[in-house]
Amino acid sequence: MEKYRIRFCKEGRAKYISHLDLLKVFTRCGRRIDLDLEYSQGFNPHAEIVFSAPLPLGMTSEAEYVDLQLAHETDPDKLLELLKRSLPSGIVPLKIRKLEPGEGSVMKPVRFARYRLEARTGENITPEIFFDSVKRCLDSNEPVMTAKKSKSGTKVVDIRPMIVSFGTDFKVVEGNNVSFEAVLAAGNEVNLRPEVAFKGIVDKLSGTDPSKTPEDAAPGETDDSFLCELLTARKMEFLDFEQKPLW
Amino acid sequence: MSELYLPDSMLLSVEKPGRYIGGELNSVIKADGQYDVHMAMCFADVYDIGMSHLGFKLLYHLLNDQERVWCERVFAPWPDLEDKMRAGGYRLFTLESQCEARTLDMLSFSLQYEMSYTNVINMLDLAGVPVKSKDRDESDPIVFCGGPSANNTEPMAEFFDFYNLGEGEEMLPEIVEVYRQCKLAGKNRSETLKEIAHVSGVYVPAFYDCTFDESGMFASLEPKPEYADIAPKRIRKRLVSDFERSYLPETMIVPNIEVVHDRIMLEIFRGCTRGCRFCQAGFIYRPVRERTPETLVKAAKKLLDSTGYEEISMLSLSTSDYSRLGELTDDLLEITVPKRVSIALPSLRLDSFSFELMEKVSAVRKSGLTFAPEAGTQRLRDIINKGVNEEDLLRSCRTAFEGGWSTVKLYFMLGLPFETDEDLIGIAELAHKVLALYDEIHAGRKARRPNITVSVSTFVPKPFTPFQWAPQIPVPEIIRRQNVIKEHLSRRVSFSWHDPETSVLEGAISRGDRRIGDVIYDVWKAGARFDAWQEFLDYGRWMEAFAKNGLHAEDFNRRERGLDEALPWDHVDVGVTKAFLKRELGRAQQGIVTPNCAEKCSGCGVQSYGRGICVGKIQN
Ligand code: SF4
Repeated sequence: MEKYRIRFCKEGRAKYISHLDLLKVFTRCGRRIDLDLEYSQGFNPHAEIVFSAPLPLGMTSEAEYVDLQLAHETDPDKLLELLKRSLPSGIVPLKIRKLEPGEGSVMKPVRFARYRLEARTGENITPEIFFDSVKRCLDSNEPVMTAKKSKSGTKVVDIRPMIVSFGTDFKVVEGNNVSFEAVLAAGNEVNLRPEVAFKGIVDKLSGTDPSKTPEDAAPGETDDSFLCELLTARKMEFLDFEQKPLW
Repeated sequence: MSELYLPDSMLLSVEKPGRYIGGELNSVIKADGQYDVHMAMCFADVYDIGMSHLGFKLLYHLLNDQERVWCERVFAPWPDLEDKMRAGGYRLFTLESQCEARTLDMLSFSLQYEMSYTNVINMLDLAGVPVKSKDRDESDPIVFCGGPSANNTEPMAEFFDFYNLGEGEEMLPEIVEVYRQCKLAGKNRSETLKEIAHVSGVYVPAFYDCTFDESGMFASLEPKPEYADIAPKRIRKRLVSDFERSYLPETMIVPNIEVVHDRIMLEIFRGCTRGCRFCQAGFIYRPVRERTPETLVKAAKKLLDSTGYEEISMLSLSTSDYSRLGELTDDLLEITVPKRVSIALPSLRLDSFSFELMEKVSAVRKSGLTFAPEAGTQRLRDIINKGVNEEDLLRSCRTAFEGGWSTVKLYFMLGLPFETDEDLIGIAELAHKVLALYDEIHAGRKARRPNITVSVSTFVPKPFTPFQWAPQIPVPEIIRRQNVIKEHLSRRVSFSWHDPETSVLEGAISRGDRRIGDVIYDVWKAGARFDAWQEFLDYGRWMEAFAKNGLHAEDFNRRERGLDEALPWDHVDVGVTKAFLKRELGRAQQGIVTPNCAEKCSGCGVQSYGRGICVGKIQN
């Protein structure tokens, strides 16, 4: 039994392939390229394919991982080539390595993830002012309260401890569209999705009650110039506890 | 890669956005300059349904295999997305290039069921294409259709520029080539349609006049005098010339999201020898033509290599009737076992041979077996020519139960011609016999609880069958008969039935004439779409549309037609003669069974094509 780990990109139209469907995509690809994938025992055997944590639908990523368990040793470079040729467009294998015996899951060392986000800021505010306000808000270390889904339901919680950075390395794409980076908690224990972080920070800047939608708020209660829209999110890499990028 | 037509924010706010993005493995993209004809296959339902139809996928690949043709796909957006598209001013778009469907040369609809007709109109409207043929001009695509329910051309005649009647494999490339020549020669729309009308099997509704008599009954459908030279009086369905050598795709799109039938489908033969008198497919797809195992295995191998699917399903109207089933199964197993691919054998008649096969392919988990006796008594089974008897059924059930099966589903039809309450009670009794058999076999032993289901659909008389003249029973009577079965059925048997309103509407449309088109148009105007989905069907809205047009649904579904009456589909020649259908109706009345084509030819008329099973048969 040999295990290979592949890091791949998910982009373009493939960002609409759900995590569940991804398993089928890889299993079928395996069959097309005659991969001797190992199968689980039991009534409903499935191929031994394990992915990194699910990527939200609609997000692109340069840091998706899959572990394939094969019956026999194979040439990793050849395998990578075959995968590149056979996977549907938008799922692009980047690199491959053979796992050492006993090596743990890809998610084990993961503590954070770095994202590049694109947003449209309000009409009457410059990107500079916007990001300056974000920076001051985070530097103050005040709580950032927002509604967050968890296994036990949706609760309003302070997400500030889950934000390492937000709004760094910003660039104006065109007009009011800006691109910037964020490092947020990720992994098996705590996990903060970029759109949740974005909403929390924007709500705080505009003074919106996190339990209300903007339409619910009384006029004049909020500062609309901070209302802005998250356009796209791309996961760039996973980071370990020292914030070192994963392979 | 092309950009998506709809913004991400819209796609992410609807159910299953994967329906709208294309880009699947084996979908076809052609570059500008690689094609002269840009067309789309359209399916009047949502992606998950359309991508489950073999015929739809087959024609897609066939058309793209033509040089100078690019065929894309278009599906109906689910209402959640449609509302947002309309609000945002978006139009119906193609999946591959994500362009507006109205910019294409041709839109080809595959008509699978009548209840999708409001979706056809809705799609055209959403595309920004005038919904009626007469309102389209040079800037609009040519809109045409084919498929099983297109065989009664009239209900949708006003909406299509032309119909292709019969099998598309040879006809479509021919039509598209004629179109291409016309386009290159700069011919206008009406000149082009005239050229296309020359292709055998093509019907152009605008070239014909319908008349009705004083009592408002359909009287005739004739070519208009000015088109007499190009519009045949009767349009003869096209058959592929050699089924064995006919197009078998080597590749198939693999959807990225879950669809209803997500597997390789291998059409092992076309047509059905049995001639069940209620079954339209059994008549319109005649004659039976088989493919050889060699051809099928070769195709299966290529399809497996190009798709990576985990399952191959044999496709036909009755798998057991394939003459070399054992051989085919063995040959397929040789290529599927090493690849961990499973084989599905649907619509198998359950005899000892089938059980052996099922064991071999382990196709059926010990959970699901289905039988279709269709009627509750032998008398009625003889009337509908369903060659199943109680002994066979119970023998199969015995084998199944002894082999460890405990779940059996029994399919029946309700509202069949000449049906009495006795036949309905017979359904319950048959189910009880199956139950008693299970108890007997497991007597004194601890056994799983049997799971026996009786599933009853409502009979809809269809054109081109011996019951095309028969009345359909009305909604209250359907409900009463459903209740008769329910009352007589043990609580240990589960019971499922179909929505009666869908059945009677289907009944009114499927035997409708050209005037039904106005009803469909009005009901669409009133907001109808996705009528095939019970959650969207509004029966009252349909009744209002009938009333608005001064028509009664009963005249189309309830009325028994005279044998000499002109029928709105008489101009379509599917090969089976009206004389034969009348003879079959007579035999039904007398309860006489007609042998299947394999045993004896009954001279249905299809022998005139000189193909398939008819060849070398003694006609009588
Ligand atoms: S002509 Fe005879 S053999 Fe051919 S389809 Fe008709 S009944 Fe069957």
